Amino acid sequence: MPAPSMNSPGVGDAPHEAQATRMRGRGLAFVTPITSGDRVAVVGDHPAVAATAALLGAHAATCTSLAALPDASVDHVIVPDAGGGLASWAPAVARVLRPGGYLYIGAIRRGAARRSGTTPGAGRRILTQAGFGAVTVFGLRDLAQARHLVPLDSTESVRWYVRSAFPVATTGQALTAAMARIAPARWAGRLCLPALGFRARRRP
Amino acid sequence: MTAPPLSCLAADDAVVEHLGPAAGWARLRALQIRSPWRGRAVWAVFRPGDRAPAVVVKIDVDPGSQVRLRNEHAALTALQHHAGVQHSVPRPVALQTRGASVVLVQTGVAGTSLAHLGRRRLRPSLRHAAREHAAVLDWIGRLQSTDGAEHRRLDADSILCRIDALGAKAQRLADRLRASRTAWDGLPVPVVPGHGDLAPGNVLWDRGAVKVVDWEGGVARRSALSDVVYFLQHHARRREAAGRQRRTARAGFRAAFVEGPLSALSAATLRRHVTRLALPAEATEALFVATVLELADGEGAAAHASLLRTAWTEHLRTYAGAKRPPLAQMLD
Repeated sequence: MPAPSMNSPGVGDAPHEAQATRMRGRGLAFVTPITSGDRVAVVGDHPAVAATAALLGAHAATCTSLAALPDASVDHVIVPDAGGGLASWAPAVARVLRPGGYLYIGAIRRGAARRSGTTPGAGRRILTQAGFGAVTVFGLRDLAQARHLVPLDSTESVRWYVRSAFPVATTGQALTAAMARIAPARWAGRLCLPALGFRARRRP
Repeated sequence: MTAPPLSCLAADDAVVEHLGPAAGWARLRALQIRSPWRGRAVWAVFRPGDRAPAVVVKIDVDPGSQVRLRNEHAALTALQHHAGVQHSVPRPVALQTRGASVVLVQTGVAGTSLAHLGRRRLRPSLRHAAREHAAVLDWIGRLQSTDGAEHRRLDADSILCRIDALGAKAQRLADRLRASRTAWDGLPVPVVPGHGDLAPGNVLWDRGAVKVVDWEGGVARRSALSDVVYFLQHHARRREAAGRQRRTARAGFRAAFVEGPLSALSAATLRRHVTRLALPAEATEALFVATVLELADGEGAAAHASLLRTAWTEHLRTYAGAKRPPLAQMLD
């Protein structure tokens, strides 16, 4: 039996923070259809995403900005955390992505308590105007870890997430989860998924 | 190109038969689930109106862990012929090899994991713990109810030798086992199908019924007590309520078998299982020690065996050093 790459539940007392850093955003490499030989640019300090893309056979590299990349030079761009909002990233990504290439970009959701950030509708609009199509919007609990990506247009997915996967660590979160279980799916998503992830394809 | 995971599904006849024609797949939605494994992605795929996922898709691109998906497919296939549990485990739909990836498709299972249910509570509840112990014990009983079980006899000399090797701290345990030796020496313990990673996260609670997922350790034959001991230890480790910390492995073992209210409950659960196996109740502690030794040898838990050996060896030391654990009090 091969040794797993992390401590499994029940094994010793793993340093959880180090483990979380090592795994950070790993699943994002699977959000776009990366195949062998594809060129992937991962923006930000997310080496686990690039390493997983490399396992898929892609030529993956992390970078801090897209400015140095030539036009239409990559097949996938992954921006786990678009700190400055989608509007500042979309044109730059559209430039470096080849036609038909895929983008994943994460952003904080704008809510009653947060004036910055974006909404699913606004994000969709920005990406469409920048030349992207087939936009799918996911809800996330935390941008960097991206543990679960919940398609927000699916009531069933949101309900299942709230019922079965929403991580409850504090009494406050337990109350949030209890409210979300009885709230309409749209509000349940807002309560439990404070970040957004957009997958889109650059129009050929 | 379709985005994952639907791109993996359309080419497979068995999947199309299960999900319906690919023409209607535009309405399917895939929720990506966190996986702790490198090179692994897991999706729950929902149809409109479904309460549970229609299928769960697991993709593994790491050659080192792909064997686990093959194990799981083999286990689920075998369990479809097991009348006791066939409706409480996922059904295998397809196993594909696509380039460097292995893709396992299985049916989704309704329910919420016991780990999640614990976290949702506002305070720890022994009553709920007892209910969960009873339900899981019943499920294990059904899994183990196969004809022609093999047996492995307890070897008192070998067990006592290993306890003595733990040093002076284990003297009390060695004395107790020697005192009850006639009750357990040579006792035939059934070797039956087991799960190997029966942690609360893999046990789903669906309106009072227990369902079990994550069969990546296979369904190999194990000592009849190993799944029970493994479950009890992990059940004690989980977050008992919101705001409570998850226990460390050692603290979880202590809570499960050494001290505190949960340990009395675990002892009663273990004893009930021993009685159900038609073994003498006074042999419960010896059977428990023999099972912990097996887990320390990496025999009982197939899923994470290499990592668990050290942990269970430490647990045995912890148990051996305990003054009067509930399993010993049962002998009074």
